[in-house]
Amino acid sequence: MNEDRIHRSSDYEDFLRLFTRDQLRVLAYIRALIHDHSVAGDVFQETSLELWRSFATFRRDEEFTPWALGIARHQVLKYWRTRDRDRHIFSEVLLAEISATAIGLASELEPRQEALDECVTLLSDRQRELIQLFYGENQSAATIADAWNRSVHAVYKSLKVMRRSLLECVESKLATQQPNNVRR
Amino acid sequence: MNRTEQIFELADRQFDGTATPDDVARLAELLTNDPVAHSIYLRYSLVHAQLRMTPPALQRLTASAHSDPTLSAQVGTTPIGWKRWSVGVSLATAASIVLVLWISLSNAPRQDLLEHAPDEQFADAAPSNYDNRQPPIGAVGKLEGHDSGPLTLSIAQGETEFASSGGANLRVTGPALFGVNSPEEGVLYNGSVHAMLESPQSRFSVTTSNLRVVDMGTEFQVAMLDDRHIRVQAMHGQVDVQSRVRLPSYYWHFDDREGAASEDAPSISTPLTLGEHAQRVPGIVGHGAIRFDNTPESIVQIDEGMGTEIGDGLMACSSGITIEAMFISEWSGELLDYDEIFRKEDGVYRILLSFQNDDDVGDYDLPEVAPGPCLSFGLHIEQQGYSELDMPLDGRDGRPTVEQLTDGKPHHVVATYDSFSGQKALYIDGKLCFQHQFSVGGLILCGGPAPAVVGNMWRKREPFAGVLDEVALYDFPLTAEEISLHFENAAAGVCYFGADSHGLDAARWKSITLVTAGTQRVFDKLTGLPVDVMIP
Repeated sequence: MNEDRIHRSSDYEDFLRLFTRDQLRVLAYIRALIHDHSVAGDVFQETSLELWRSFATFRRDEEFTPWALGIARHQVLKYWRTRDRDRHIFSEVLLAEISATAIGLASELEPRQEALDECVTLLSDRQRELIQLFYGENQSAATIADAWNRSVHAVYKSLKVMRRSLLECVESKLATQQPNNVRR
Repeated sequence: MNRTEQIFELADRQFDGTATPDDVARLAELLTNDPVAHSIYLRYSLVHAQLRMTPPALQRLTASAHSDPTLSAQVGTTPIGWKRWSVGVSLATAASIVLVLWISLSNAPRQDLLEHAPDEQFADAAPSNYDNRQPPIGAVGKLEGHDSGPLTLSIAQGETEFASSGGANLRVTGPALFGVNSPEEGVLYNGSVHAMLESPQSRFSVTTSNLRVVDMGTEFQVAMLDDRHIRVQAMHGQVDVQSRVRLPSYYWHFDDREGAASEDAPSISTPLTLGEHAQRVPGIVGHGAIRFDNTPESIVQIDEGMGTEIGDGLMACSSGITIEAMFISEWSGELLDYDEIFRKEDGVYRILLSFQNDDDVGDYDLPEVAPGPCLSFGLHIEQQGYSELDMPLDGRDGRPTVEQLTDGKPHHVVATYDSFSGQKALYIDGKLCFQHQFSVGGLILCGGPAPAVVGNMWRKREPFAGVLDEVALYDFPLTAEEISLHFENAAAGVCYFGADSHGLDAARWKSITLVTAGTQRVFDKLTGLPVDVMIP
């Protein structure tokens, strides 16, 4: 019994160490595939529980990140299956293809986040406020439009323009970090 | 637009929750069997995903973590307002749990819009002084007693229970789309809803397009069986199944002459105040119409239909709307010349139908169109905010030109919005000329204290030039067939609804049948008639 407890305690510590290191990667992966913030949060929570439940099957000579993203992928597909009649969702075949491609981007998650953090500092105060309201406080575009005395369409347009310029900035920063400046 | 730009554009709509099924299908088409497109899509999606983890987004989270650590635990146990409801539904949806939420609408008036008054006053004097969508304090409509007004709930699976402040306990079973437009009324787009009343005084009705199920102190369930059929089941007591009266809620035909008996008029008249330069002239249809001479005093104010708050009053519409009119226009089409046909100015909750050429001031157009002369239909749609369907008058793709609409002849215009299809559309002379597809289920927010105006707006700055007649307002969308028929009738010089019609009915709904305890019936929601089909 004591030996069991020791094993479980040791497992738990191992899990915490690995999960703490990779949890943002897992979350970013899920959020890249599920765009609704609250649903992505729920799937992340379910994935975290499933990772711990399945940790006994994790071979210590394996890489944790691909294993964790494989389980996250399974949870994302499971969520999508609950909405298979919703015409706002891609087909299961396409979703499986995209989520597989997303795992290939796993190694880029951290450099992308770092580049994005830097790019965000280059934005105007108004754009950073928009990030705070829309992404930080989950305010709807309609609420922001009311507060700013703008149309909702104008808010969506600002988000669009900002996201495009941030993607360009991130890609440009990553390209300069590549050997021989090879663009990804 | 190249392939990558199309992917970005459609992905933006997905991120913002505004993508339609057609958008998703188009995006899927662009991504299928194309690893490069997958990569482009995912890299862009990562920007959206990782923005939530950037310092500006985390700023408030860090600050509030100390001040309100128990916030999430409070959801579902405390009486909550409309905003919290959406949070609760998300939880219920993902976890497939039953979440009992009490919708408690406080009677205390919301003051925050008034507290922004100084900014709004300054905005009024801003350089874009021709943008008359910036109302002064006092003219701004406000939502009473709750934070964000009507909501449409999307429930992917499981059941969500809540109680309306009108006294009905409701259970919505997913997949479902259910709008709650007032404490005593819901709109069912998909799925099923079960209602049980707390007391004989409680009331709740469920609308599905052309049908309304009104409780008569009972417990009942309404379920959408497919795109066309609904099942109504009464567990206790009985419900009244009603069909919509497809006539306008307001019809200003201008045929009533001052001091004259109105027996020759085709409908009930409503009190109007005519400006000094709004002149009664022979009608395009019927005896009378109004001529507007493009001066500030050419204005007709409607002196009824106002409510106290948004969603209130006889001109408030929620699941659909139509504005219809006959006109002879002398609009110049020049930059900064606006000609209003109909406008009810409740701040951002206004209803507007006008000719505009304003160089896209305020960026209200949705979809985005090139600046230039247009016919504009403005509405505030829940979760989308206020936007205008600006139909360019450029003669392309079946759209008319300014010259065609100002040729001295009468023309028919209809503007519709249907939350059941998500379509916002403009028709000229009986034909669909321009449209935009919103997500299904977006309720309209309008109504309130501002009087409606025909041929001008509250500031008297956007007078119509020409003649307006047969202006009608409906609290539902007319169909393309009805619009075509109305045009044919009007072109023949008779009332939209036929020579023998009175054009108005005091009732908005008419009873079809009662469904009593222990029974169920299936109805065709388009015809409003009961049908004999196998009930699954």
